[in-house]
Amino acid sequence: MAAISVYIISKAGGMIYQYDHNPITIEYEKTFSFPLDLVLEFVNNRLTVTFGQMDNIKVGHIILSVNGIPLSGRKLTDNRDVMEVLKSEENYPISIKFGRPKLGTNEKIVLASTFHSLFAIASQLSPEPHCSGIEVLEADTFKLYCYQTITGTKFMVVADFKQSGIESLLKKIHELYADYALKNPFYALEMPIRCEQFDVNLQAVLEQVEKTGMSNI
Amino acid sequence: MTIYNLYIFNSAGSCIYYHEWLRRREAGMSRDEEMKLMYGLIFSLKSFVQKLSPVDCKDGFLNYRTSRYKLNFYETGTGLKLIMNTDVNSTNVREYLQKIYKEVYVEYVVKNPECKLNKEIVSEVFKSKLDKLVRSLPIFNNRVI
Repeated sequence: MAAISVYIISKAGGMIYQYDHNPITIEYEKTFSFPLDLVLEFVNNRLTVTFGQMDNIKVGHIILSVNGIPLSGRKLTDNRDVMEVLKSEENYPISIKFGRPKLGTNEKIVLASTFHSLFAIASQLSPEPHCSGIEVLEADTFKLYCYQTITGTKFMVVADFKQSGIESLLKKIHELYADYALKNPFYALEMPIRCEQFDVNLQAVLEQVEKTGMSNI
Repeated sequence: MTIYNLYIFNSAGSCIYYHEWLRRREAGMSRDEEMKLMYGLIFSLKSFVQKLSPVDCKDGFLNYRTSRYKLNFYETGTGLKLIMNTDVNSTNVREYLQKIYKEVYVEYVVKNPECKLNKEIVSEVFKSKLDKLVRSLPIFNNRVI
């Protein structure tokens, strides 16, 4: 069962809530001999594979550690430059750990506001009148469901493409939002949701979805 | 079941072909601006999907659905992008887009020395073959109201 992520986007396009349910980590370690048959480049200050997919190492994966020493930016934590280490033959055989880059909070905020505008453009480019924004977006690895309330708040769920009945989950999340976030006197509208009750109940619902499916929500 | 319109973009992002079979609403901007907006939408969707995906994706973005229409996307290895808007219930549109690419674009644009690649397609034979193929698809059933 794949991860389900929940995003709540305010009517201004700001991300006010995000939760990943059992996120998947993709990591793979491999020992290399000289010369390295991968093309590596710095993208967004992370050493990324740009050419030469092999085994489980895919283009877009980043280097997490070299010989067990973690990488931060361009330097290893023992203060050696990672490119120097990979270039010199005496360091080989070398063991490198690759992984799929994880989304940071800032990146999630950017993605949420990107979706907010894509949603609006999709309804603008419609060939039919009176069209809503994106309701379901399909990719080969996941499906994204979006539900916009009449007040403009968007609930967005990223789920496995095989998972069905997400529409009822969206309604349920809306209900939880109304019950635990909006009824909380300390919650300011359009601001990030920090309500413990909301977290607890949302997790319980997602747990239930994972175990028994959508039918009894 | 309806097919609304078809956009073909080259790898540089300019629209080389546009045809509409049915359209009840105009975008409220010039054609030129609409093409730029559509390309921007697709470009952003592609990077959005790549970042949001929980695992590594192969094809990436496939389609999206709103309350009134469905946008289907197919990109070839060379960066040619085919976008077709259909009604929300149509399925297998990706296969039809592949068919359009294989049986019409490659045959009547790539194999036609008069057609300059990456330029707007003005070939009449392409236009008529495409129209014939689209009209023969099982999801094509446009009624004039």
